[in-house]
Amino acid sequence: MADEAELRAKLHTFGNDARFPDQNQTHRCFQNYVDYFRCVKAKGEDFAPCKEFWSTYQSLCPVSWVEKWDEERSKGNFPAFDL
Amino acid sequence: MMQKNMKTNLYQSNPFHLVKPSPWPMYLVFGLFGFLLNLTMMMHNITDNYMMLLINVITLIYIGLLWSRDIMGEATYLGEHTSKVSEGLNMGFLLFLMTELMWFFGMFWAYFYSALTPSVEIGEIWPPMSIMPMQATDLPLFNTLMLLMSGATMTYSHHALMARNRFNSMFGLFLTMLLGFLFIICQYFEYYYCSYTLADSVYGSVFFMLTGLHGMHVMTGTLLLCLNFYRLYNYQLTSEKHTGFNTSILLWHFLDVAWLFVYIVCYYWGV
Repeated sequence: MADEAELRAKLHTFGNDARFPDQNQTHRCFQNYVDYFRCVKAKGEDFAPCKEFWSTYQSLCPVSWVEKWDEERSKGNFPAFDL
Repeated sequence: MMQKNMKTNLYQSNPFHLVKPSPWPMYLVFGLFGFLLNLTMMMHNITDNYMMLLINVITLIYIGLLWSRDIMGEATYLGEHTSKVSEGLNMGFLLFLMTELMWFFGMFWAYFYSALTPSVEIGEIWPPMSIMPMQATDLPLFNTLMLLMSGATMTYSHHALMARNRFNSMFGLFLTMLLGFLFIICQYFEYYYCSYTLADSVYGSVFFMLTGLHGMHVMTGTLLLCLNFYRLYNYQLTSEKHTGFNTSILLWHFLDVAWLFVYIVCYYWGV
């Protein structure tokens, strides 16, 4: 990603998302991860709103999870549809 | 003095059945422990010796039959089951059904916990990807019909017994046994041709725990019905007093209702 460094600089702790009211934000992390790749698939990498998903999951998800999911996506056994 | 003691042994001043030491509870517990051990070892691939499990099941059924035989003797030939004792047996069985209810409640809880908010590990979708759930309108619907019908034949048999109609009572009970047996056979084929197993994600786990729990109980219920059929055939049940038959009927209707929930949740709602 071109402006990844720029986005990293802008990373901050995200506020409330009413869909995920619990303290445990696992589902929010996963949802944003999935939403990012769906968004990119539908609108392309340069579509600005997609980056919101990207920075959210980058902020919320442990790196090891993201690595695991990336690997699963490349292997084709990621447990969510159309990714 | 000696003679006085002997005379007082001939009667008792209370209506309760003072049971004598019996080996069956202990044997049954050992059998259950072995069953647990073998089942666990088999499911964790520590052993693939199915023969031990089979021997275990046979032993358990055998001990159950021997225990039942003692109780039937106490009831029919020794006259130990006064109305007070029957009340106690009935209450005991109702308490047992309460524990069964809680067991089913727990298994349903597990199902809903996994299905209402599917975890990240299964991609937050239910059923998980590439699980092909059973069709609710296939064999499960047939099973539902059979169980509902067996509830009706059960009532038919019970009312025939109360109306002192031996043939109809035995015929109704036979039909109920047959339907129960057919249900088990259909469940077997359903499991056999199922595309997923107990080990396929949490979906397989909760599905087979719920339907398996119910299926195991239908097997036990059918065995109980067989016992009752034997007793009916041997004139051990009367139109006035048939506590064992009553409790078996309760269990059967309980399983009937439990199946309706299992069917709705596992085959219709959760797919």
